[in-house]
Amino acid sequence: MDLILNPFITLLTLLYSIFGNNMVIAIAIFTVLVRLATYPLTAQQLRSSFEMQKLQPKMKELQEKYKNDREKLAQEQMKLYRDHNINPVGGCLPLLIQFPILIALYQAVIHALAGVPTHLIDVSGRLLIPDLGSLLPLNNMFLGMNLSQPPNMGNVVAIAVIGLTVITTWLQMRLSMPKPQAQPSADGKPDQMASVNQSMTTIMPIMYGFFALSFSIGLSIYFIISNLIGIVQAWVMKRQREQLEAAAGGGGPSVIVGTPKTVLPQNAKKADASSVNKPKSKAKAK
Amino acid sequence: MTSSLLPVKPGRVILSLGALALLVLVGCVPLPIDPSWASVSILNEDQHILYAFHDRVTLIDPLDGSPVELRDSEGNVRVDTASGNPLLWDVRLQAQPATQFYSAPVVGDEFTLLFPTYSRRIYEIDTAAARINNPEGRLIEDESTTNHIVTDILATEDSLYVPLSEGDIKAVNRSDWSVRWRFDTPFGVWAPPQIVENLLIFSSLDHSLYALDPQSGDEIWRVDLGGALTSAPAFSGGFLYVGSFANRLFKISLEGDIVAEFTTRDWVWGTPAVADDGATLYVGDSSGWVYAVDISGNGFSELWSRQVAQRAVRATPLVIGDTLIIASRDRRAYWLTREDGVEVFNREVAGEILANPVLVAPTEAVSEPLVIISTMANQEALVAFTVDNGERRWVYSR
Repeated sequence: MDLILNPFITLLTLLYSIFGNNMVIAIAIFTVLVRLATYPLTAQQLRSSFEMQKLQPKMKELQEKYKNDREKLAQEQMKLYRDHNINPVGGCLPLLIQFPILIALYQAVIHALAGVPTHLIDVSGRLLIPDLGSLLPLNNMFLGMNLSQPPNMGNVVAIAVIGLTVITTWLQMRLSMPKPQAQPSADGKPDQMASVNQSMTTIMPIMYGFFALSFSIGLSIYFIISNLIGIVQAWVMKRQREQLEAAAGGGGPSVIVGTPKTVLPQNAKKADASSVNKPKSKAKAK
Repeated sequence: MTSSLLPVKPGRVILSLGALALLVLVGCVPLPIDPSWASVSILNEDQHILYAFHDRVTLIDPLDGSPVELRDSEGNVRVDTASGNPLLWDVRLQAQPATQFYSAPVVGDEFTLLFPTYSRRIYEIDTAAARINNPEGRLIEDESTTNHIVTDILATEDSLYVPLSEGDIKAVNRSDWSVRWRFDTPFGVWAPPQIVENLLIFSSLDHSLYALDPQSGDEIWRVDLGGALTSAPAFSGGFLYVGSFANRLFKISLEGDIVAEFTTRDWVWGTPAVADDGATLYVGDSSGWVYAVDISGNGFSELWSRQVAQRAVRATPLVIGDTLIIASRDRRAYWLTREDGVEVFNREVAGEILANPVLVAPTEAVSEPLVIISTMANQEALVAFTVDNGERRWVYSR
């Protein structure tokens, strides 16, 4: 952990000194740098998410076809993933890889802001640029909040920070998760993966709200900025994909699934398109 | 007709409501904070060891490391009527997680001890009965602030001087707990204040050493030492000696002038120790180096320096005769010769050592001098070693 933590603490302190001894700006810049460094992972996660989304009609078809043979269904699903060069856990792995970074970041914020002596004494030996030690302690106050401590519920800004953490997490989850199918499958049961994603979209914001309440406000600042960047990334990638698919489709029939922005390309097999539980009122063709 | 919503599953609803309840609950009940290192002090002529850590304070018998038994006015051991067990001098605060000890207790009067807590309250404990006289504590700072008490307070006959973690120090009248004055500092005060030659001297994280008029709180002088100050200065021969995060040790006159500087390899966190002769000063740094400095002249003159430990030496060195005992975060206590700093032996303990070691002097009851080491590990909260050869005499576990 020290391999990640020590550079993080050093970088945070350095940014603090560069940007006028302002810890919030330092955390913001730091977050941007972390997001840039982990961009390949995020992009892979989003790509995987979109690919899975595209496969949903075929998955649905398989589920209906093999609804009485779970073993065969699993085999066919794996074959489908293989054929389309998709790793079914490809969306989770990048998230898991980011956890050590998140933990190190939490530790870095806690130590750099040092609300209590045991945190500050831990900074000794961690600054890779020793002269930065003379900057300590870092100014941890912002709009009446102590960034090193959990929010005081009497402070309106602190409550707003918690709210923003929840909202931006929800929005990012919403944009980066595959959209659910418009209708349940023929057997009346909801799609399993869509159900899991829906649960994630509900639980994760609450979980991050819990983090925002329990941990230092500095970490919540990171969450908010990181989420905002994630939202922009997801939106941009989604737009690019839509444009690419529109260009490849050449104006062929498209089917709106879940939301008006998700479009299937024209060259999708007819069987695929027909197998989708099309919302008839919204289905359109040129 | 279409719907973009999935059918609502009861399990998911329950899970969401549970998470929401947790969210609300956590908003009302703060999570525990990290405990600081223990404070260890010698209380009375029996040399009972007062050990305060987390939410608990215990009086330990230096003979065998057991908690002291409570006695009645005739000297008989008091017994718990329900269990038949002896009552022990062991006080636990029954309060919020933030109600824990970051500072040492101070003597209130002949019969009471005052215990400041992180949660900005001061509890009064009846020493004879080991009972908290004011279970709610006396709130010393507005709870809407983020200020806490993370270091020792100073008690004088008529005042309490309370340093605060985010900034400021305040003087409180002991007679009615009213605030006599409050002095602003831009950053926290994490080092105990002290009165030297009628000056209230304290170090601040804002890089300055301050001298105030203890009665009025007026600033007499302040001196910027280029780095955060986390320890109280040592006072000897009319000068103050204090280290800072600027990797420096300073000699400062009582007029606030820097008389001399000495460069260390890393931060100086702890208070230096001055030998009884007043001529030699010992101090450790955050890289585990220890320095012996001649302070008999106007400046500093290094006698020796060496890397004793692998991690920080926060605790003040203990000077006993020709021996210097250094406690480190590397879980070892080192016995050095004072003359040249050569290691005689070291003793390993279960946890990091951050608290200052204390000496139990030999008496009729205690046959040999003991050094008491407090560690961060529960199983070896206190370890007593003989000064002469470092033999373990007893261990107190939490």
